[in-house]
Amino acid sequence: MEKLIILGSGPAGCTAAIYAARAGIVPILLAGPLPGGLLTQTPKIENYPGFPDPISGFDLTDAMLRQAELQGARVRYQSAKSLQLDGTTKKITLDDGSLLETRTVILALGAQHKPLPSQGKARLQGSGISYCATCDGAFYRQQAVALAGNGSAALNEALYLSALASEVHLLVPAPTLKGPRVLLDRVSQSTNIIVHLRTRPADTVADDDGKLTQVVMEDLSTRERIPLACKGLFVALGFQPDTSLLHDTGIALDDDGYIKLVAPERTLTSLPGVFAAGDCTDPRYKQAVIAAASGAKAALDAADFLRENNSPSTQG
Amino acid sequence: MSEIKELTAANFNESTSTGTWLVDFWATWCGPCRMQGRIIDENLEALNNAGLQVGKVNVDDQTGLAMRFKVLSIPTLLIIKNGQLVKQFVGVQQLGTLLEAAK
Repeated sequence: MEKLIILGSGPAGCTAAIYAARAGIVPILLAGPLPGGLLTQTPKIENYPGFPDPISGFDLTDAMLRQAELQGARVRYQSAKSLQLDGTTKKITLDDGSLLETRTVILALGAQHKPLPSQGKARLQGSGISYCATCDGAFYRQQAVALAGNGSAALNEALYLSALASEVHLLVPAPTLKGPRVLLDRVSQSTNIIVHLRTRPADTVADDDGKLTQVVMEDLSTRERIPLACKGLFVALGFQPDTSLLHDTGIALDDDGYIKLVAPERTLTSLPGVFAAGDCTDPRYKQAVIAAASGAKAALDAADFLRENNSPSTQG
Repeated sequence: MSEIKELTAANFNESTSTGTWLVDFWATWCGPCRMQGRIIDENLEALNNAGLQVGKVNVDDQTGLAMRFKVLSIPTLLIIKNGQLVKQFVGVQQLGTLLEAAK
């Protein structure tokens, strides 16, 4: 029987693992479907304290994973397939069919990209549509691309792409561009990012080989459709919590699928012994540093729970 | 446990002509690709036991192979059985998916 299993290995999961290991609760850190989480897609991070020189999301999460291992956490590059979280023994079935049992769980499941609405849940990828500019930008060197989205992540991706592509058409559904001032300034100073406000990608046109040749942009005010000659369409329409694993587990979720935390300033979920941290609990901020901090809280909450439910005489 | 083979235009066809291969298209600049690499590295024994031999293609060095398989998004993973392409995955794939694909 394990004391603690942490699901997810982004900033929240890794920080939880570091704090738990140091509290003497050697946890298993299940790295999950994308080890390091979505942050691994971020080309350049300039707002994580302690890293004055820009660091890539991969390098930052890789350092966090190494730190968790150095502190004693056991990192497993596997995912949970199903969860039984009620009762005093929590059961986690892994994707290779093996079963783990544990007394406490920290859910640090993170977020995933919101898909293009026109395509519903079936994400069209690999034929010119991409959800990861750092992964795929290099395939579009000196070619025109479109990027749908707004906000910090979208601006970061537009700036990354602008260094590779000949031009970047930024399709912004809102009437204004949103994001940190420093990024807004860089976008406005860029010579090859063309901002189209109140627009969305309505359709794509491909050649006989299935390669994208056009993105059809819709003006949301006039409903006019304007074809843009583009070889790629990047999607940065925001994030949704990656909590589909939790349906029917008894963990309370809000209408948008975020895990409900049941005590102010703490990380307790609706089930005793199950804690949650990071973007899967955070509809608002979605910042690595906030996810990391909430991971630390979850580890301390789990440590308290184990102490209180083990030998009450040692409390405090 | 068999090692991960570096696949190139020169050795690709011959290497993958027999057996079941998992081929991972990746690049150093792609964070998720490097995490996919870790899922493969850390579970290599399980993948081998499921009958998969593993090869990697660096798309920076092997643009011809990337074009041949129309790779425009990485990581892209191929399952090749006796030289025939039977599956192509785009995006980071979990161990469970890879084990299932080996069947």
